[in-house]
Amino acid sequence: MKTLTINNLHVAVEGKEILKGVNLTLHAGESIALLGPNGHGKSTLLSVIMGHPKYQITEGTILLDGENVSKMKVDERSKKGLFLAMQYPSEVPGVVNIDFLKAAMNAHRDTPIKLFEFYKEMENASKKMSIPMDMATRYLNEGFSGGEKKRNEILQMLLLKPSLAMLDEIDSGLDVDALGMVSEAIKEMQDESRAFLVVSHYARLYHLIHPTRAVVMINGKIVLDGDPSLIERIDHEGYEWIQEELGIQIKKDEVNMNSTSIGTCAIKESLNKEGKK
Amino acid sequence: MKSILDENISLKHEKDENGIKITVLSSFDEPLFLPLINEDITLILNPHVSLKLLEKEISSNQRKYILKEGATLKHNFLILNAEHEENREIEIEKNATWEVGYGDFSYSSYHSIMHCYLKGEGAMGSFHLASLARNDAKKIFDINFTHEVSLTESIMENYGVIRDEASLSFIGIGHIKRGAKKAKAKQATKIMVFDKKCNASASPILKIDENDVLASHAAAEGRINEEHLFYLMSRGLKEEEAKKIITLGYLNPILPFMFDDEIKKEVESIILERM
Repeated sequence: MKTLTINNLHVAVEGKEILKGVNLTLHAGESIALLGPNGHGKSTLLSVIMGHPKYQITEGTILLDGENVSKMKVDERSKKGLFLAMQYPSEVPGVVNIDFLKAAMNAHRDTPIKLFEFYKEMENASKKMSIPMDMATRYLNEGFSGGEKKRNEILQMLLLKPSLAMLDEIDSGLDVDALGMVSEAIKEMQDESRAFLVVSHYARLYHLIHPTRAVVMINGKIVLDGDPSLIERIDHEGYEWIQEELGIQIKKDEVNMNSTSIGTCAIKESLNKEGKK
Repeated sequence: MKSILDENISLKHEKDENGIKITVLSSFDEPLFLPLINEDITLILNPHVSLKLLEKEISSNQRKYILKEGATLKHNFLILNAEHEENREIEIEKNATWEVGYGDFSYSSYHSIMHCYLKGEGAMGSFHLASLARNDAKKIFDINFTHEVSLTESIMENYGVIRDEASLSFIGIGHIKRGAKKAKAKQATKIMVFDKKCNASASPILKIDENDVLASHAAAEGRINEEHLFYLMSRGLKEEEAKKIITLGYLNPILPFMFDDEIKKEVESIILERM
């Protein structure tokens, strides 16, 4: 990948518009910190670039070196070098981790990987992520702790060597040591041929991986695009100042309080809710 | 693998108007197989005898298995072609165990009826089925356990995957008779449906005439998990390949009950091939 260009991207989920005209261009060699309050579309943007079927693009384009990404199937995007480390990686029962990893690596190659070569790469990546090899024979993410799931995502990134790695809150649920390992792995892969798009709520991860650019997403749009000093300012001052300086109203997370409490019937409440939809 | 119909000093074969009677006199380490033969067969495991038996062919004739005290039958089925209705009856005596890994991957319609009677204290029946129904096949598995005395245990786990316009039903009754105190019965059924015209039904029934028992049953039907599919595809796996892997994962809880590595491998490759 050389360039990913997102033009006026509008995305809806179940009829509700979440992205409202995103414009963003990424170049190989860049590491971009994607910031923004909760519920303003950061995860949606990453999932849409990867092709999650839940989201509908209603307007706009995503171009990868000029090619229309939204026409590609999810696996084709992966083969073009896109990778998404998910915020909540799925637990897939019955699918053995190591079989899956091998199938994934083979999907990115013309000829199947030799067993010896595969084990060498696995061992190497597992060591970096401090994942015991016996975890590879367990079912994919099943029974993994939050931190183990995140490390398993980075392990996959190391094996697949994507040209655009999108990391969605990869640092949540990680202890200090694991955060160190994850950031080392990212740093090791940062080079002129690759781009990173990294979502995190904490400056700590960014301090370790040194983004080259920071962008801020509010109300489903990129409202600020600048140098990494934005990270510091947001870390210290939050998002309020953006509201004042840019004159935009930050929409608050809609919190639907559950009306269920002791003494009410939860099933009845949820049926009522369904009925209202 | 040797046939259980072949002559062997540990086997006694008898034949009369009721069909063939095979008595297993002492234990076998190596698994045996039961070939297709159009006769009724009664297989008797003498007390404390253990046997691993593989069946690949379905006969329309009656099959009866009698497990004497303390006997163990590890029973594997690997069904690739089935056009008949099968009818099996199993009697399990005191402290005897019947452990089954049943893989059905045939394309044809199929009706399987099993009645398992737990007749002695400590008798155990453990049944694990994976079935793949495709095209326009209609499959019915009618698996029944009857707990006749106390301290008996039955486990039934049925996993099914349906594609195209096929239909699959898991029915059967777990019956705990009066006086079968401390009996345990567990039934679990899961079906994954791929296409719109598939027809799935799961209705495990528990009939309990005794108060002092432990019994549970559960049934789940659903489509392939979209998140799982997205996750695998986002790592480069093609949709068909991802579905195959997910299906294999869905059906492979029977693998631990397949007694032979060769059979395990065969099951895996058949699932991948027939998906």
